[in-house]
Amino acid sequence: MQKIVLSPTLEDYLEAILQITAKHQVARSMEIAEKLHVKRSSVTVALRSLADKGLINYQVRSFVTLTESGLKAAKCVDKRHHILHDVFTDILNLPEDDADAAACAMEHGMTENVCRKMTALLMAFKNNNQDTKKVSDSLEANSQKIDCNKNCNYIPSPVFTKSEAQLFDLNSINPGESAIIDRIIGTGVLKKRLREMGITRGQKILVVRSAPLDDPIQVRVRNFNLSLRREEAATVLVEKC
Amino acid sequence: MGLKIALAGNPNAGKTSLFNRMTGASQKVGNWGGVTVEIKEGNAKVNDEPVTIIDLPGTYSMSTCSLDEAAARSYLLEEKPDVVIDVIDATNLERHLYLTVQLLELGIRPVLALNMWDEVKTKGIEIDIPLLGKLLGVPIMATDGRKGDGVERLLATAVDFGHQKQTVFENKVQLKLPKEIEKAIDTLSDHVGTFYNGNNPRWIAMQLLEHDKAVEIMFSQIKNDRSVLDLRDTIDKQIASLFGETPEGFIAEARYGFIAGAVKESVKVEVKINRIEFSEKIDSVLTHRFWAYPIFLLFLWLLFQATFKLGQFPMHLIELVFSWLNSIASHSLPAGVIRDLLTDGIIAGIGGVIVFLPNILILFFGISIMEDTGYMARTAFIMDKLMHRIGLHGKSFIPMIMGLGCSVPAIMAARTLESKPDRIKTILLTPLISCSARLPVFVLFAGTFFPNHAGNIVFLFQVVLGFSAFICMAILFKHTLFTNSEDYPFVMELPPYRLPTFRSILIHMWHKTEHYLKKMGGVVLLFSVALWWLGAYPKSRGIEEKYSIEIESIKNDKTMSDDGKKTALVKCENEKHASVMEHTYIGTIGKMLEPLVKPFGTDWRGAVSLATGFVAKEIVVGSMGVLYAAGNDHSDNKQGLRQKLQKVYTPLSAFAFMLFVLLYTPCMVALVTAMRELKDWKWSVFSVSYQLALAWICATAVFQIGTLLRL
Repeated sequence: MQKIVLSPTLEDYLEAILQITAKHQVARSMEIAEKLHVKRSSVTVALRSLADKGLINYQVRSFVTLTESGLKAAKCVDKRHHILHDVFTDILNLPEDDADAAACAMEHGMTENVCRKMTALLMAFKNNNQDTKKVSDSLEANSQKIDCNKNCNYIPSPVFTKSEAQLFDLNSINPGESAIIDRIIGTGVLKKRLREMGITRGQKILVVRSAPLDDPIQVRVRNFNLSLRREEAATVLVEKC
Repeated sequence: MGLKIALAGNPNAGKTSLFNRMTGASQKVGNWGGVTVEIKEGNAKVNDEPVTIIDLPGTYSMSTCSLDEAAARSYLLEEKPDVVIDVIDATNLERHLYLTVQLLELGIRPVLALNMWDEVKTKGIEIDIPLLGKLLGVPIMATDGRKGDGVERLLATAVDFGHQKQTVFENKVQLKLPKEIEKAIDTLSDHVGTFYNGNNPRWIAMQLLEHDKAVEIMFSQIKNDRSVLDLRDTIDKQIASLFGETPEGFIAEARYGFIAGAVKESVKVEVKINRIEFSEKIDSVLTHRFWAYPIFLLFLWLLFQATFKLGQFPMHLIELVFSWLNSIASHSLPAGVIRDLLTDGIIAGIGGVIVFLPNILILFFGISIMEDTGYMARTAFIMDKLMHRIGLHGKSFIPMIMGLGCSVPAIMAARTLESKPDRIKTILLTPLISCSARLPVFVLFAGTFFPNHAGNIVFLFQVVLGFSAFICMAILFKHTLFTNSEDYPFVMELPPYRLPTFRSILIHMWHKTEHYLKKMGGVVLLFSVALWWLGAYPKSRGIEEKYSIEIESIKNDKTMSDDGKKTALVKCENEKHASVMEHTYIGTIGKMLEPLVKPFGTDWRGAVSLATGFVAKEIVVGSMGVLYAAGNDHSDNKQGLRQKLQKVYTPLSAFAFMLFVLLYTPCMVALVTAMRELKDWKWSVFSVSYQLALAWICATAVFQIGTLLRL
């Protein structure tokens, strides 16, 4: 069976949906937006992508539920999160906040190998309570002497690729406003054509107007006027500027 | 043979006006290699040296999404013209140089024509041509295709360049790609090299990574090996998981990056361009939320009126000339087969083609203006939402409306559609809109069977049912035949408004017309002779003799009054014509078809009339007049025919008959036009058969259900 590829962002969404549906059976995009601290329009983009992969049941302006394979995937992410979380709290003695934030970021990068060894590490510690206490205390003491971020001239962000959640699709840009193109999420002919027409990363794009019936829209990129249907514009992700 | 110079460039770069400037009227449209896209050829002289100039279809990219788009590239690769002139809109260098970079990658070193140089000056842009030429490694000339400035110098440069015959040149284009992508290209081109012995495996590898349709097909079909494509897919996935972006994106970005660098260096001053540009001002009115539609309707109304109302006068003139020719021929030749062939077959056939000329000339005059000014793209912009709902393109709207006048120019208007599936759908559907030739049939039947609602019934057929059929079939096609062509992108340039030159419009218009005459003449003539022969033979001597004896006896009958004689004679004459027609081939065919028309309540006479309607829909009425022995009554009310019809048809069967007339295959000229435009036998056959089937099913359903309900 061919496996689908999930970006860290989408894993986050799955996790959030799992947590919300565990409480309320269904999730609304509003709740997801609040949980992940993102705008609702970005939620729409991500949900569409998840629905395309067959992981959630989703219709615009409707409830979201996980499909069978979505539930399986969400549980995988959740499991990795919990392992990391427990390693951080139980072995490293980190406070809840730090453990959660770090687990959130690191869960995406765990390969099968890392996951297995981490779990084994956790189990080894749990089976031997005395040693656990001793090792974790010594870790605590030694770690005080180590500088980790002192020579670093920036604060590392827990998000390691630009999250799709911070992006908007082109439809959410009002006529007269500009944005910076980040990526095209479509596929095939459309993606190719958009690229050739000069819609590439980092380029400024101005939404000039929408047609009288609201669809298509007129955009200007590289001093060149294009008309795009709404459904096509939805595949262009931009950053507001 | 002189040098072959090909013009390549983006649509709207002013390629065609340059081509017209270079070649004047010496052009011919030639189809090349079975591709549906036309490639125009013309001759020019440079310092007494004859050269051939080829106008390639405008294209945004050398890498293609569909085979049709590949026409320009295939021509360049296979025909290997001596020089390629890349025509560029100098006011929009960045966008247009994309194609130039791709040409250089292909190993083609073009001569650049920086067109629209006048606009560059008025906009206050300064381009350092020598520097740009050095950066790109190509000769560059500034031109103004509209006024013709610089065209001679461009041609001279191109000819010089062609004589130098440089086979090897240094490609100055350096794409800055991440090293992972470079590695991917190398891996793929190594693998390609084992299959493909062309001289540019790197280019092939890049095309594969860019998902070029033609190259993909080459590997999946001709080379018959999936391993190259599989490797490509694996690389795509690897790179995507590494960067969140496929190699395709990096390549496009790198090209634009290179161009941006070159432009930044050579375009010195970009003086304050007026923020709200001229085009923007016009757009704010023409695509305005409220005014867009009234204005469009006004233009459409003007176009329609001009095409069909203004066209009427020259059409009458043409008809007069041909009937005059006909009478000359029939007076100067002895009666017989040759005379009939000449008058009813050949002259009538040629007349049938030429009579549409005024329509086509005027319509294409209007369409050329709309296209050259840039308004055509805006009409697609404002109509697209509605048309897209039924699976069509915004540009399908104009052919659809033109269908109300005549299907022939309407089908030709579908040429403005760039994508092949959209064009095919529009050509298939346009004949469903009732053309004006179907009006006489509706008027006759509505007046006879629905005298109290005649106007409404005519409107129902002429407008409501035609458009309903169009919409229903469009939706049906969308969900059946064209399910996978759905994703053809709409992404369309909205070019800046420009004043068209009268000269270019005239040339444009003339070409469409010339094309129509050349392509249509022969086939329509053949059809028309065949139909004449079917309708005139075999001559039944016996019947004619029988009736002449009867006529003689009436004339000699002493017992009848003069008036009585006259009516009897007319009756006898009418019966004679009906009987003669009954015994011709077309009559025989009609009788054979009777079982087919029975289900919708029509007799064999109706079937013959429908068959003759293939020549032109208005002939249906004339044939009925003859067949129902009502005489060829030219008066408007056709009282005689009406009475006869009432004996044969009920309002229900009349309704079914009208429905059949609305939906079945349009006249042969429209059919041949559709065939010529579809350029594909399968689609042409489908076009005829689906219309016949649709007409039959609808008419039969109405008649049978009506009968069940005792209507």
